[in-house]
Amino acid sequence: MNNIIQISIIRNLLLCIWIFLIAMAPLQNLAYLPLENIEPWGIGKILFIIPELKSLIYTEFFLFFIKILTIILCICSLFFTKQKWLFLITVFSIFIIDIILKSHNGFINHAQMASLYMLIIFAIFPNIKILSINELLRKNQKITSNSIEYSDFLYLLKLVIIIPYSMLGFERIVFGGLFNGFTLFYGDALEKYILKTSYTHAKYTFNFFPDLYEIPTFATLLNIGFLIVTLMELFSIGILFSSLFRKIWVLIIIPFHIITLFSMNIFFWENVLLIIALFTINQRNQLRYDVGFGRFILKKLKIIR
Amino acid sequence: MYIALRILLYLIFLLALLLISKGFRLNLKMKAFVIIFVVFLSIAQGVIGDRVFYPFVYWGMYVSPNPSPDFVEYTIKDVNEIESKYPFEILSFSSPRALEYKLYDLIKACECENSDPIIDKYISSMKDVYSKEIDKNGFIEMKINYITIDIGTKELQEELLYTWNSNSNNPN
Repeated sequence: MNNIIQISIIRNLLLCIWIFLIAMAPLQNLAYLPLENIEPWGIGKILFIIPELKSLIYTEFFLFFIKILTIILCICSLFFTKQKWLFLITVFSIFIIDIILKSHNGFINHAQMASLYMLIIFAIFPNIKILSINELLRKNQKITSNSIEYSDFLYLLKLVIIIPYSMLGFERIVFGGLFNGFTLFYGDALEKYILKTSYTHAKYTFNFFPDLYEIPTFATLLNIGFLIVTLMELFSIGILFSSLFRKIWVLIIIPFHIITLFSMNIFFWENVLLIIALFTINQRNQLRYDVGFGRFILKKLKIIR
Repeated sequence: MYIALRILLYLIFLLALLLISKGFRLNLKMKAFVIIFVVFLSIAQGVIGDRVFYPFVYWGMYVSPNPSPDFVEYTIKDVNEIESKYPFEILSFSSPRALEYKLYDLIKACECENSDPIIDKYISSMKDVYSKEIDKNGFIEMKINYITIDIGTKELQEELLYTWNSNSNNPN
């Protein structure tokens, strides 16, 4: 496999993720909620500069229309990759839907941020050659490009995963740990989080972890696991330098996401799919392209070869 | 001052990540993108609670060493007096919890226990969606409780925040 195939798999996976998310979102039901409670965020405010647009957008007809249109655009983008304008319109449409979905609540959904940022990267760099679903499924094709441009593009996609994990690790270690005596990792903080998320009404309804937490050994293991996951998040950039670290990181982070499903009813399945697509396939030739100052230092220290 | 310090710390951290990887060896267009991405993420990370920088947002899940084990519960009663929890998934597939907090924010803002026109209108519209998606009869009552979990006994202590009744609170 080469970089073009991996990049194409990621782009098509992103489109499939958004098709599923948009298809499942009861977007048109937002038309029932009062218009005065709509609070678009950040760049989303541009959408509502003209106040009349609110009453136009938040109608069942328009919301249903944009939902179906975006799904059709996503499907077309899977099959027609040479029409760059088509992908641009698709990403724009997905972005508008994301703004609408988030305009009625007070929280960002971190699960979809990586998927959104990656789509924006694909839209900003349209010169990257992409294979359609048809081309990907066709056997015996000869694609021979592992140029620097493609490895740099893959690096950008990796950063979208690495940076949020690193920031979260940094936030926990510095602001949650360092400034608070690290009680986050040995006190009852994790138990409180598990209790809270297990009892709160959510899409997933697992609530057996509070009982398991009563077992002292299990509670200790969970706290140790929490610290290990946080350290893995903080040092996520190591994925780019060491093949061994990448394997350990993937083997810890993916089970961590599965455990949060059962312990906290939180499942970032989009991130799990993107981690698999980015960090488990086509890895053989990538480390030599991910050369940076960090790799140079690690080599000098003989930590890596 | 604190916000500026946070932004600066994050900027240094993220620029260091770019330095040790190959962030500064990219071509000009990619480098410009990465730097804009990192600067905006750092600003958004510093300005906690404010989402003016969307789609750049604060990342800080499960950071507090002393979280409060409490939550808000939305219990509805149907025409047969059967109680259940309001299914927020009919309003939002990907982030139902966010909508729960949206309604809680409205209740906190009004500091009232019933008969607030804004909240009643919101709950009435939630009832309309419930009638469309779940039960055409809708629901006749919604009780919003603030639940505190006793960490020692695991007992739930309820505090009634707001009551909506279809007969007395219908804004229409």
